[in-house]
Amino acid sequence: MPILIDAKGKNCPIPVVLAKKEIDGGANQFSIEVDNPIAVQNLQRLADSQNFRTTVESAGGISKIIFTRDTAAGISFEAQPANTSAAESWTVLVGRCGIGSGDPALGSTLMRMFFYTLTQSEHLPASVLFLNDGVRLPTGDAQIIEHLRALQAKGVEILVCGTCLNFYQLTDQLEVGTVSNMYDLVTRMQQADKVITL
Amino acid sequence: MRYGVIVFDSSHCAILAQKLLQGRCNLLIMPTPREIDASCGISLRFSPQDAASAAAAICALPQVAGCWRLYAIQEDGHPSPLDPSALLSISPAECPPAAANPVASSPENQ
Repeated sequence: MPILIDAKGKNCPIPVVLAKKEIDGGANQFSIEVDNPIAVQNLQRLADSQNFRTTVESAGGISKIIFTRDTAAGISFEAQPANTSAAESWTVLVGRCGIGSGDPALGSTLMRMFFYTLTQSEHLPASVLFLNDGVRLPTGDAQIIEHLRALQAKGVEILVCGTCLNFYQLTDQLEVGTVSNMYDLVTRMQQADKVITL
Repeated sequence: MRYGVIVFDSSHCAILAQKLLQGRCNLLIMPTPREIDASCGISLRFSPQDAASAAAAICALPQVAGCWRLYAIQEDGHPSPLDPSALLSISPAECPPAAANPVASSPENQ
């Protein structure tokens, strides 16, 4: 019996979580129904990252995404390649405004150097996530704001925890990035092949 | 030049200079270019049009006198030393260059 998951009325990240559960369970084909276009995009991204093809049937605001495992890719869901290709997706999680513990000035300096170096490189993260003290960077660090803008222009998603901005009363001072929530932040972590926490 | 850098003999010097120059110059903190032998991995980058103001600003800091050098990074990535006194048309006594040879040819010892 074909597997059909009803994720209508479910917000991000639930549809992705449900689909991933099927994939991890070994299903080679299943369908999932959602009722919002963001969920369709997130599911397609999930499929791409897990070697599944998708077809989408939409009618009356409901979209049915059919996942089919791409056996031609020759990679089973159990075996992850040991050597990661340059296309491996990664996400950076910034929970502090400096790198490492110890001297705060050195930590800030290191953080600026990190983002500078990212702007000079080719293999960029899919997203950079800011939480807690990290939200001070896209709100108040001129050099890092400049680098984040450059990264954003190259397609890197910059997400900033809205609750944290609110807590530190920095919401009005966000210079770059999108105000986000824990569901979206967790989804980015789940979709990434690796998450680097600074 | 593609851009210029202020290179330092110690991380303390670099961090102090960056703190003192904050807001006064358009300087970016960057890792020291691999082509330059320097003791410290932290450098400050300036654009060509800011070369004179960057030189003037760092020359005016007695707290970091003698522990920095200026370089121009060319289009091909090759570094060439910049003499701040020549850049500013002042006498060397007003802004003495640091020792002609790099203090150490290896990265700063931890």
